[in-house]
Amino acid sequence: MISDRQLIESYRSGRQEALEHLINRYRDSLFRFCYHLSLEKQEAEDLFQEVWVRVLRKLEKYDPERPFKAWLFQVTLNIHKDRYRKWKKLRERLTLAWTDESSRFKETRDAAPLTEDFLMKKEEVLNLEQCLRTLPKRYLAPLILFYYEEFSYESIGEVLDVPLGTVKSRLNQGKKLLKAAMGERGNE
Amino acid sequence: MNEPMENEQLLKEYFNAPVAAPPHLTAGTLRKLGESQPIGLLICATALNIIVALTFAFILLAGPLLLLWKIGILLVFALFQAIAVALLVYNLTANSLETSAN
Repeated sequence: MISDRQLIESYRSGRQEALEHLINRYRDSLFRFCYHLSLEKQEAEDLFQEVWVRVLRKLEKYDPERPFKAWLFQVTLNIHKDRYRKWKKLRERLTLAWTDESSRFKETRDAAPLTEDFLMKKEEVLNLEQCLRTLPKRYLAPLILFYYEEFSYESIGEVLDVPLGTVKSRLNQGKKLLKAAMGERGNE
Repeated sequence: MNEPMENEQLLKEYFNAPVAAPPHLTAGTLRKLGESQPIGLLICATALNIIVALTFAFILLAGPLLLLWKIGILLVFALFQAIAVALLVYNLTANSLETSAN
């Protein structure tokens, strides 16, 4: 199997198909990360594409000694932060009345059979997504990476660019806040 | 008592459930990458080229050569410029056609 490093070098030497190979390799995991960060499919798609544009621009600065996936996720997180900041500013400026009702309605329309179990599961996931939306952004990314079960604390620290102690404290605090939010919603 | 465990399980399931990426995602990304030409770089190169051409023309016209020679040299220079622009435009359109075909 060709390594990421070989693919990058191959792309640098002018082979476009190496880039396609690289995008396909991380397509599912990166899209999933984008989706968990933004919690919207369309937003996740835009973020995914923007990430690759930025990756190609910054490829010269990439250190091949670092794992590519950690760097890719770090770029994703930085772009997501920028986009979120811009969106927040715009929202404040326009003072739009923001409601999730329409998107929730869209999400519940599904071609899958509407069994009771399915609907309950769907409701649980919707509740969880609502809780994740209310979670302060600095706690969201460590939680996502932690539950992916493929990132060690050190790798999470590398992606977030924070020390190990901060990763642990953010994870603890994030879990506490999320569980409290879930508990509150459960009691409603 | 079981609720925290259930929550933990739900979180694990939620974050590890596959999220289906749209089938057009890779093609769309490659198209976007093809569209994002370095326009800033192109503008800088054009501006630099204009400055160089004007300086060259000024030095040449102020020099001690015959007018006919000056016009001849300027025409040859303009011809090279035209060929360079034609090649650049051809290259850019070929790239964008290729990405839209994919």
